[in-house]
Amino acid sequence: MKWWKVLAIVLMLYSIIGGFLIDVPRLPILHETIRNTYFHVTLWFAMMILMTISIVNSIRYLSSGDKKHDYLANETVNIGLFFGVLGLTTGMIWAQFTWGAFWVNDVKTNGTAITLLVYFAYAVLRGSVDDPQKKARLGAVYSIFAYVMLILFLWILPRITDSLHPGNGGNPAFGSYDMDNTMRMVFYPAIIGFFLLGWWLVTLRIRLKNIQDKLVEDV
Amino acid sequence: MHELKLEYRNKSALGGLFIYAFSTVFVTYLSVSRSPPSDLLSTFIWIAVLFISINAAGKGFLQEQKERMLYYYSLVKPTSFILGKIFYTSLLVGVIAMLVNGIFILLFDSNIEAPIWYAVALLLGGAGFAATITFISAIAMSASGNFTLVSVLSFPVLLPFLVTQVKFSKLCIAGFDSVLALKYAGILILLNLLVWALAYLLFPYLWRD
Repeated sequence: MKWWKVLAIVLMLYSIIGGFLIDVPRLPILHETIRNTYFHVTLWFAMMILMTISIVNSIRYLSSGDKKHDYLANETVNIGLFFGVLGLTTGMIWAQFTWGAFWVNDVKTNGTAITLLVYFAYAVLRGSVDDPQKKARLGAVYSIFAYVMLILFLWILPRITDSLHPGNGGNPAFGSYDMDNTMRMVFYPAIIGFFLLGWWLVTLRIRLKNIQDKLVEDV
Repeated sequence: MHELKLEYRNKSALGGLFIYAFSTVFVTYLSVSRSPPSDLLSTFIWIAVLFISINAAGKGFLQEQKERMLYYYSLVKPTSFILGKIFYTSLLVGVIAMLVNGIFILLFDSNIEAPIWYAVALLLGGAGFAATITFISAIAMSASGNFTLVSVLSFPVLLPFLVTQVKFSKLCIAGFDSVLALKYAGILILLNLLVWALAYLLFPYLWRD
């Protein structure tokens, strides 16, 4: 087993155990639900890294036409989408306890829903083309579009409108000054842990695809 | 220019479009008995414009025959081809938007507080719709030539335009505020630049088929 896979397991175990057991600061409204930072927020960070890898490889595919880049771009989106759905679910459970409803009309929540829709549309697009080269090219073009939407909805729009999320509009925050050092000690490792876990899944799926390709070639 | 003539040749399709627009608006009018408040009115208008535009403009690439595409391919650069296509679609969506707006305002007898800004909103929103739908339709054409794909792919991408557009028009119908209007216009211009630039840069990769 490679060293980073061991690191992924260790960091995940650490952030799950530490995330539930280590003391957290008591903030109004949030209380114990602040522990969701370790999972909900870190999942979004991991998703952002995966999606960024995806767009870089989409652009590389368009300029090189190498199958390797396409597989990387596609699988990072798949795992990123998986993380996105998990992030949305953890967020919804958290919202039920703090805001009193699973779905609140909030700019970040709505933006996420739309972003995930765009990426699901990407999956539909890929599914509807048979020719692998065409699939790769169209997928790459649409994923560049999708990434621009992601930046728009998750980074730009929440900054020009007010959000209910902690850290926005005067709500107590996970962010800069409300998160103390013990929280950071779990938060950052958890991001790396989730990312490494996602990367592991990506490499596994790419290996699976390569094996399938080989089987098709042999037949 | 050539696109204009091409579409003018199937006048029946254009006529069908007008009837489609009128009946959509009329159905809304009959179902909503009283004059709706400004936010609902602008939502109605822009959702109608969205659906009609996707139906009309989404076919932009699908109805081209393979042979003709080959002919264009030998004739013009891909970038000028997509820009021409988008210009034509903008015109089409502009006509649809004006039509839908006109009928709505006529039927519901509403007043617009800031008509010039309203026209600006209509123009910017229409151009954005057109660019997005044209580009997505190019993707869908090379994917499978399947029309449902156009709506699946373009709805989420059109959402930022739709949301800004609805808020902008609502502002122009009632409770006008020029600072907010400038902000919305700025957002729409940025979104337009973004989509046009993406279409311009990425279309050459869709072209060779």
